Amino acid sequence: MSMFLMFFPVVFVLVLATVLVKKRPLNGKGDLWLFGGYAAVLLFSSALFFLIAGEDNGTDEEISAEIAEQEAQKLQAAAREGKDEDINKDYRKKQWTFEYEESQLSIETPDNSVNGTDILMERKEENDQVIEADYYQTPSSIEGKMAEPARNPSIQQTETALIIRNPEEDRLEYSAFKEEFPFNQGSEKINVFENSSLVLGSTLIYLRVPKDLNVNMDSYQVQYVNE
Amino acid sequence: MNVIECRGVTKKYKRKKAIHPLSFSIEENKVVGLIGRNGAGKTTLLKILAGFLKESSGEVNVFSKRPFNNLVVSANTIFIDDQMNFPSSFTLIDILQQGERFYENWDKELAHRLIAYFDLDAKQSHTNLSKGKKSTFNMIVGLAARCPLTIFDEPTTGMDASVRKDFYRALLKDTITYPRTIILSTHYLEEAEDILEEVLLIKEGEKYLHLPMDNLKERLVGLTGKIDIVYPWVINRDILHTRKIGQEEVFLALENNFTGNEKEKMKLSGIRISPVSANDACIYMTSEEKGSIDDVFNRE
Amino acid sequence: MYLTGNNAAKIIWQQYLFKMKAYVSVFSSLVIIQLLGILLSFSGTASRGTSAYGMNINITYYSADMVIVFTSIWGFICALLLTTTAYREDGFHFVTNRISSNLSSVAFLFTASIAGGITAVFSGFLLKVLVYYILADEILGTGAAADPLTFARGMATAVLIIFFISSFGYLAGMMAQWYRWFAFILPAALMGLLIVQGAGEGTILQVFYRFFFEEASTFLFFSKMIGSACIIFAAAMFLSNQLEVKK
Repeated sequence: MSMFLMFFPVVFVLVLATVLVKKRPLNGKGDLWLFGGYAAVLLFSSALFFLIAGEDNGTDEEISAEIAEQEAQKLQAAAREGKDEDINKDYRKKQWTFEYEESQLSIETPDNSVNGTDILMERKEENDQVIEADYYQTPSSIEGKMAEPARNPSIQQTETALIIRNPEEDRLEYSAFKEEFPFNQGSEKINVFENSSLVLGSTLIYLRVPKDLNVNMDSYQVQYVNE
Repeated sequence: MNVIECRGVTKKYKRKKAIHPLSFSIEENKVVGLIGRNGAGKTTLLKILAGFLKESSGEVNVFSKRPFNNLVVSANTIFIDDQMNFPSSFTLIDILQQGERFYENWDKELAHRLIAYFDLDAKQSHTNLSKGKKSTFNMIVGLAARCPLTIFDEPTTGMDASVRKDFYRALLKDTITYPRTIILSTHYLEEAEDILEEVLLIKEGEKYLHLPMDNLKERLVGLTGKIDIVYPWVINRDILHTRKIGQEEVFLALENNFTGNEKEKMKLSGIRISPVSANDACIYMTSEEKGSIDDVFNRE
Repeated sequence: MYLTGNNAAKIIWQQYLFKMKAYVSVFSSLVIIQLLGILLSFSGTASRGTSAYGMNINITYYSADMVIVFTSIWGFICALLLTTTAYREDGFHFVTNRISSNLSSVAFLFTASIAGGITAVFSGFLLKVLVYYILADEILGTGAAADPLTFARGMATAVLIIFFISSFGYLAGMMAQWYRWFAFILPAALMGLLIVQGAGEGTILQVFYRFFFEEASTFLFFSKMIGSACIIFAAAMFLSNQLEVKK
């Protein structure tokens, strides 16, 4: 079916081109004027385009793909080694503290299995009956543009559990200009996106729980640090 | 010098033979009429000469070269018929400009004078011309090109009588000043009579006659008289045409090879001897042997 | 009357000029086709979406890719129409023979390809300017060729692709002139091939595509395009020699 959909515009152009060339709706002078006018419009718009592109270039790259990648890796590495103090505080989007006096705790992550975040848990060296949670997020680079979701996850405390819920999805729409395919001829870029860049940032929820708290959790979703 | 030489030329379309072995030659600077009935192979022959069609067998030479696909022949030949399609975006003036570019002998001034004389609008598109105007314009192209070999295939189609007359007059004048070989096929031999020097008569794809115009006018003789008096004179002769005149008299056309003595005797016996015009001669000679259109209606 | 001299190159040149004037309508049809391509490109020629924690990213890419494809189809049609009887005969009222007629047609098609290729690449700027002002979305990435040399190479590539495609149109047209049924057999064969083999790995189309469009070396790519176009045009000329000049 999709093949036929693909063929439709092709067939349409075939027919249109045939009719236009054969019917010759314009006399010779009209043809030349149309073509000349079009060429002039193209020249004008290319000048305009470079003007726009020139203006944009100054503020173009907010964050490069490389930096976004590095920052995401740095966040993960630091967190997994338990050195959360090393993490750039700018990336800490939200902090929670919960008083918790029970000896048992379940961590529930009802919607984290799809497009979820990493949840790391560190045991503190004392039993202070306080659970701390930090949410970290590094920026994504979308064609050089910095992007971050506006909403944070929510953590809800019940009598015996912490419920971690994903934030509502933030829909980000972008438009991008791409080079035409002849410009990529010979660069072995089979995938049209290979010269475009999209690097997603990394997200992380870092929990610190009292030393002897007995925690029930899905070990696929929550991992211990330093254990 | 012969501009055209054909030896045993044939042309077959799929199954049908359009031209049977045909041999003739045409000298330089002659104005030749190609006469034949519809379907006799006139157009096919002319297109072979112009290099548009490939002969099936035999040898064709135009300017001592095989015309098919030949650039020299193409540069020195122009073929004019009523099927000429010029690009529809072309106005008459555009076509004249192209002609000037392509043909070295092109007479621009003549073309423009003729356009003005025949009241053609130079800015009009060729496609939108009426049939007669189209023929007139094509004829102007043919004349102005001044090609050493100019071929007109039914050039007067759709023209009205006065334009036809003007056309032949223009052709005559121009060929006197700039002699060239012209082949012209037409249905109306009468009108072209004055300018044709030779006539090539073909019948069913074969050459029937090739002779000077003057000879053609004397080729046939018409005999009119009472049936029983005329018939004894024509026994064993080819009667090309018979027509009843009234109840008793008959008109016969046949080849003029009676001796002066015989003619005297015929006149004495009451037979009227009349010349047969070139046009009629052609009609009689190319008609089917068995009777004429009259026979269709005179069945008993 | 003396015979006029003749010079094949001069006659080809005259025929070329004649065709440029006679078929000038191909250039206006080019404009219409490209404007249509630009219009259809407004919804983006490619898009890419991804979901991550807390966000759903969708990027719409704008480029004149579709215009270039449309222009190639246009080149194919122009070449095909040039081989049809009416068009072939248009030129035969004036001085010509097969070779001069074919060569002038090829020269005309090359000119049309240059016009088509350059305008197709430049139409990308028009599209992008229109998207910038009309859709007023934030635009990421300029999509402009990095340097003049790359730009020139890309433009030459577009021109050659169109010329290459048009050579197929010319050959297909001549084949159909030579044997009527090819007008049905050729498209049917192509469709059949697509249906039977699909467009996947290892198919004839894939091999074809690999050979021509995945060529890494610019020089080899240009050579392949020009060389193949020459071979295809030569084959078409060979076929045209089997036809009567004018019926």
